Amino acid sequence: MRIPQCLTIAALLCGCIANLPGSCACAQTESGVTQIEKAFQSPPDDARVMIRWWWFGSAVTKPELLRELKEMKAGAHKRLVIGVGHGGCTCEGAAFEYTFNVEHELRQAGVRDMAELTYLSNEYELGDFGVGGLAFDQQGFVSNSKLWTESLFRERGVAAIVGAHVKAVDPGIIHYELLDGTTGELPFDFAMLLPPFRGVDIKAYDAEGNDISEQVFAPSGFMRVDADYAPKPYEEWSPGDWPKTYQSAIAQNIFGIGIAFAPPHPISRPRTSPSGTMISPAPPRTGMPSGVMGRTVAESIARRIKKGATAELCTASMASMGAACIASAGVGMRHGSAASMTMFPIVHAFPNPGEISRQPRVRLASPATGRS
Amino acid sequence: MPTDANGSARIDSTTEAIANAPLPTPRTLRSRKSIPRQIVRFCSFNARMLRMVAKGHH
Repeated sequence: MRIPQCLTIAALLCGCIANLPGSCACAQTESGVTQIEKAFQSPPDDARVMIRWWWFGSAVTKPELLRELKEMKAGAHKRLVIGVGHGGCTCEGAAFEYTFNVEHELRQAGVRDMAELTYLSNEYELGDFGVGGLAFDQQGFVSNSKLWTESLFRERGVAAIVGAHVKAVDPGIIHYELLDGTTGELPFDFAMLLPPFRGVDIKAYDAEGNDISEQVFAPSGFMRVDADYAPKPYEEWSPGDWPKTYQSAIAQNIFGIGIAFAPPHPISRPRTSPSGTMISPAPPRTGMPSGVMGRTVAESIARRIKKGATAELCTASMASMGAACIASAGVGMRHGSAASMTMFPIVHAFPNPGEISRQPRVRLASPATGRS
Repeated sequence: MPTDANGSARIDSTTEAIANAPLPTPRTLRSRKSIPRQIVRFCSFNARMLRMVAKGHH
């Protein structure tokens, strides 16, 4: 395949970054292009697609869950904790789904009454999901995701601790700090806490060999793109701060999408504890938004290849993009259950108006599992 | 049950909010279990997602 003079590189990822080791894609010399082509064909291990997870060793594996179920069947009471492992985590929806996956398994095994299930989150309130919550029209009334989520937790008998930052995890006990400054301990027999995301620690150099990593990447390791990164208070946040083309801030032939790009700021209102610990969800940008961004950047790359380096780029801002989320528990029309949700747009006008600025529709479908 | 730094049981506003949250009515639970209704909603939801994907980029 002929490599265009201006080689276009897309760094796309969901929870991971694929990129070239120790090289900036700005290099446009013939030798640089050849080098890049070779590196893509056989990337070193530290540049391959990867996901960073932080599990509690064997405490979250299927054999461990099965062992806990077996002990519960034998009459033991167990404490299960699921949530996020840091005050700045994102993807609370994944922890939410996993909570109800486990709850489903407990019920299917007939040991639900033997388990105390707790959801531990950095969200300010249930239903925030890292997007500042959702408001929607329900039978003529403005309702919100907080009420809907609390109802589900009550229905399924799940406890919740919100506004929490996990400070440390010892064997069988989680230490956390809350937004009000108080601290607490949560014993567990089985736990799954999501890790905080950060970019892969790679370096970028210009053609002269100067380190330009700080210009290419944010301190979090995510890639700076066409967003407005100027620090500003929550009251001055704007949907216009969010990137549209996902093109690198300094190079026209690098793009960062999904979890790879550095967001300009969170979507939920930022909050800190009295001790200064930031306890606020990072903006979610995996899943469906990543897919839309990936397609958009792919179309941009195709345009650049076909029409030249000055071709107009395609756009897909999260401020004008919708998202769908499906949280399922169990399998099958009669035994599984699922909650589906769509929202538009993902990034709302700031400050959160608390009105129907977005039009999410939340639907709950739980064949054969509803309880009165 | 979570405990505070002194080992006392913690009952916060979230616990209270969950305890006071509305529960679905028997009619709602029946509709959730209705397979024909869920099939219709499944199709509707997928159509909505396709529309979002189509409108999500320019």
